[in-house]
Amino acid sequence: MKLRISLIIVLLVAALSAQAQEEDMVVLVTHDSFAISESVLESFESQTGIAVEVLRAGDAGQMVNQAILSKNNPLGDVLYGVDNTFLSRALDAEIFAPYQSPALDTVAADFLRDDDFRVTPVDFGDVCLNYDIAWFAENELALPKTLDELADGIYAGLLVVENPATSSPGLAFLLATIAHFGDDSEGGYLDYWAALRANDVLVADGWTDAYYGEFTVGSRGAGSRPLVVSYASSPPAEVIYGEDPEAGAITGALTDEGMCFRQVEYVGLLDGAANEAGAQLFIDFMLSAEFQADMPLNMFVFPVVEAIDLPEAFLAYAQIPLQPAVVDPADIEANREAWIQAWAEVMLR
Amino acid sequence: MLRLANVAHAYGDVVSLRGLSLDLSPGEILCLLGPSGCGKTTLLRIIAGLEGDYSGEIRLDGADIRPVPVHQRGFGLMFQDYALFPHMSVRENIAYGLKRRGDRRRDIKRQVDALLERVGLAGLGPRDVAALSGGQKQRVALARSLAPNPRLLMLDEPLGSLDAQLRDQLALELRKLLKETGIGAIYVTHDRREAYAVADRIAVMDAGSIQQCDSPRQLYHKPANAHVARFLGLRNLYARAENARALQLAEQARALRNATQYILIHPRGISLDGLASAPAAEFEATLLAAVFRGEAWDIRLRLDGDLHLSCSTSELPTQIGKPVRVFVALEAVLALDE
Amino acid sequence: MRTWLSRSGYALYLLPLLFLGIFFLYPLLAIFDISLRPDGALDLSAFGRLVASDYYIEVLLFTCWQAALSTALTLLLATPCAFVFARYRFAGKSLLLSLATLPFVLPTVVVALAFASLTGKSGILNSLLRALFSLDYTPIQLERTLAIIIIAHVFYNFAIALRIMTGYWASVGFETEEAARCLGADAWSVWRDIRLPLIRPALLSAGILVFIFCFTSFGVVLILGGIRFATLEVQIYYQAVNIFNLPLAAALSIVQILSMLALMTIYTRQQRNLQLRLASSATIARAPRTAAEKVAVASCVALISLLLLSPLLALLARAVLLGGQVDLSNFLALAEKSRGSLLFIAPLEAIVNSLRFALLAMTAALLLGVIAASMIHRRGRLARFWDPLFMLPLATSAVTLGFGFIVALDEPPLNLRASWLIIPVSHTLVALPFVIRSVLPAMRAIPPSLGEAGRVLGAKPHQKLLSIDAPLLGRSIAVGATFAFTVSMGEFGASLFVAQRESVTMPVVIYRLLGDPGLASYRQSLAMSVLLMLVCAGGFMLIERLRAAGLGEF
Repeated sequence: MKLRISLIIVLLVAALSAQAQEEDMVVLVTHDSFAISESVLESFESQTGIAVEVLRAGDAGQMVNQAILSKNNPLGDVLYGVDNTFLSRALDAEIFAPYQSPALDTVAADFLRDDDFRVTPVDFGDVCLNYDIAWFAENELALPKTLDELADGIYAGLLVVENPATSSPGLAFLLATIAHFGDDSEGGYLDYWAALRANDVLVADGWTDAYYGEFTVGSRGAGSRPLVVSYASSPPAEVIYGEDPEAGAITGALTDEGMCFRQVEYVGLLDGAANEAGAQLFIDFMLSAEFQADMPLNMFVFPVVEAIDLPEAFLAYAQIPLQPAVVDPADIEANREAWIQAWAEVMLR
Repeated sequence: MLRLANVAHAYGDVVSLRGLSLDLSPGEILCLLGPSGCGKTTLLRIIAGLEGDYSGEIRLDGADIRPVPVHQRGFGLMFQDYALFPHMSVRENIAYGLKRRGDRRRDIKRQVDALLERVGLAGLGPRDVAALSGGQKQRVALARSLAPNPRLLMLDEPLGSLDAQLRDQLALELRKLLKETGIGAIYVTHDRREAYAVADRIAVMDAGSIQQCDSPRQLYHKPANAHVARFLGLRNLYARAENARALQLAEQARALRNATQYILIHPRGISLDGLASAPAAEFEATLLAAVFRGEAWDIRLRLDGDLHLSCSTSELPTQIGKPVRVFVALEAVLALDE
Repeated sequence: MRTWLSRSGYALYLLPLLFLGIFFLYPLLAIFDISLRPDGALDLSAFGRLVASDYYIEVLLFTCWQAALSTALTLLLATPCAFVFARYRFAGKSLLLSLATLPFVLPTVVVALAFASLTGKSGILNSLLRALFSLDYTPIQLERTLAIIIIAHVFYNFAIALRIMTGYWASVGFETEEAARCLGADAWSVWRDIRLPLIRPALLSAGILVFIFCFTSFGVVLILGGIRFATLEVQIYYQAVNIFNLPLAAALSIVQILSMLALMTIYTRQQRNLQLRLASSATIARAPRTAAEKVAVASCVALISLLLLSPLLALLARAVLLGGQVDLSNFLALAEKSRGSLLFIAPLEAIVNSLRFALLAMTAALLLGVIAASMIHRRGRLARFWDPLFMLPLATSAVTLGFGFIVALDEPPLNLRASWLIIPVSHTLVALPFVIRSVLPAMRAIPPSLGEAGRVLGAKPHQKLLSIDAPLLGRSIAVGATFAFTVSMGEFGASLFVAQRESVTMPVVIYRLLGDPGLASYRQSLAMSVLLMLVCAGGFMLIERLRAAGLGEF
């Protein structure tokens, strides 16, 4: 009796798993933060007759790792969400098949990172310092204009950053300091961080801890830090999802030269995809005006296509840094562990 | 030595002791005899100090011991399941009370050896208590509670979990041992044979009060009421209103009072050979049934007037269904209240 | 006839072994294979790296040290409480036990939130102290200290220790200590000479179990402690996910798994020797009478309230209060599919998903767990190996197993890596040890004579199982079922590391909401945490109703 039941279970499982992938379907492997309007995806489906299935694989790092582990038998057709901090790892592992989308023409030239067209840029966001507008006004303190100024005594005890070992914006800000100061043992980023530490910088483990726990605005007055490492898109988010959308900006982003690090997110056609043609169509679609215009309010990122109109709140409250810090993805992959380790030695000892 | 006055206790709404009083003389063995749930264990625990919520007085040699905590009372208590310390050896179990008293190591060893000898467990000191038989455990428990020379020893069904044969043997040993030490003892049991064998006095308990407190012989011969008679297993107990023949017999024995509710024809006064010295009534009866018990026969007789009598006899007088003559000593006809 | 029956019996035993083999051992070996044999040749240099650097030895030592500290503190606090729970009857006892068990099934993110709400800089305690004594500094600074890790571990594991010891204490009874008191032992001597030695077996098993949980602790250390306090488990995560150094991650995993296997072998052996009586604590427990007893009960209740309930209440307060006013809008928002986004899961759907997976995982864990328990119970010699093996999923880092799934379960007929089935499967793996640990002691407590009597009366083996064992085991099976259900409800690690379609669970939604911008999503994550707590609390109340027999190791 039980034997028969178990046989049935085994057969059922086998049947379920043997279910062949439908021809007219694209499987999109992405990270947990992916979000897009329902109507936009429906539009793709009605235009092409191809259904989209979304497979979430943790945060960006986990997603790339899973894709690499499964490269002989890919999890899906398209992988979206690998950013420049993980790009090298993905490219080195050769998980992507080249595809040059005709829509690439519309993308600003400085985003085209890969000469072999293995990945296509989709969006970007800048990690930079956010500040409490009211606090700086009340204390009549000038905003820091460069990273160096942050180490000045007048900003002592004001800044909270995230641990780069556990937080993506934390890593991005670390990279901004590396881009600015270099990683030499003399006068490099480590010296700068030592100065920040002497200036009583606070290290939180994640963005949530830092923003909602320590930042004066995010913690509703409970935290004591009016400066936090966050995103350039956080000020519009604070307005749109804040308590009073009518009140206007309560935070601002510091986007002066070299103070920000730009995270660019890419999409790629997975090598060995079951539905290569469908995957290519979807990559094209991600660069379409419809998709690009929908991203800002869903994921709080900026479109890579230049001609896209930003939502009102973005236009009003978001600033796009003109000269963000740049670190070569290959350097990031090669040095990530060492940089973080050295940083931890300085900051957490 | 020990005097209880008006001790009452309740578990929530359930009354377990209803104001009972009791005296114990030095060196006396008092049995608390009663069915399970009659409150005898509770009474022991109150005396030991393990139960706190009670009313009434407890005095030891005139001194109020109610405020004295358990470990300072110097009473011994032997638990029904012995409550031996499973993580200690036989020797360590027995030595525990001596250690707590602060005896010196050498003295402890000497005393434990003597006790082991006395309870017949010489050489078993290093044994694990789990490895002992039921009888051996009982002896260890006894030795353990005797070790610190308690002023009073309380035993809660000490032979309860042993088989019948061992029980008889150990009951005698126990009495001998207690008498040798001269320690006053309160002995709880539900088995009347055990109580007869061990006790100087027996207090029959029921529903939280003492029904009768007398020497074993007195208790057996003159149960104070129908309840005690029933508990002692005395047969031939008749409700006054129900059996005219028994009533008539009681009148003949001049035992009847106005309040009498029950008439007991004590089996010890029934004989078949007419050799009883006391005045007796003689009847014609029919032998209804007989059961062989080894040392005697238990027989059942029917007298005219539908009076059934049970008694023991060493020889079977006749065959079942045949007539037989019966003598009932008048002093054995008792009138009892409920 | 007989041979057929015994053969089908063996086939039945194969089920849990197959499950463990396919969904645990095979993926584990597959990922180890890829990690340590990248080019076809075995490369064990990663182990060399572990030994060569002081760092990993330090990590291992710290892992042991924090686990030992946490275990010691847990036992120190739980032992007197277990005594009170076993000894005394008082109003609200079973409710308190249910609530005390709540932390154990809460995902770490929620616990971290709870502690932040209570002891964080802006937490209730600090605000209160600042207001009361008009302080201009933060009196309680526990964030990212070893202390908060230890406190959180105690918070997590207190109830496990409490339950194990209470059950054992109730079953050994209190006669021996009364005997000791009559022999002149004062309160201190009773603890030293009788109580502690007597419950040593329970103390030992609770200690080992708590040590195992603290040793493999991940979220508590990562979120509350920070990277400064890297344990083995945190290092495995860091090496596997951030650095993608699979050989090193595998080497660390193997070290962890082997040391845990050793502990679990000791633990399960210990459990075999721990004979429980079918005694009900209800019959032994009595109302406290003396003032000292009342104080003991009151302090126990106070300790549990302070240690276990106050963080949960702080979380609740944060979820329902906004600017000092009760505001339930974030609860209502959970029902909406906000932002009109297809791929943003409405939190309410996650509740449905969670319930669905929990029911599935519970059913599977129950079926497999009862079979596995009876196998462990009967097959004397082999049981020594099976028993700890089934506990191993508790000690395996989720990321290792998650990567194992990706590598191993990618071909039909086991192409499950991207199927929703993988979630209930991974939950079943974690829930299985709980079912086994609940059912096994009850099985061991059933006198074999009962079954033999049934067999003599003509019951066939499966009839015996249904007519004699099942009713006797009923309660402990129910306990196991509810544990399986709640563990699945709160399971977080594995859910994060397997690729998922739109079937996310409550803990995952909480985690994602926390990462989303805006106060609204933060408050929704709090509301979701409260809902999760309520569902789990409901489960545990059900357990208390059913576990009147007082058996089960938990």
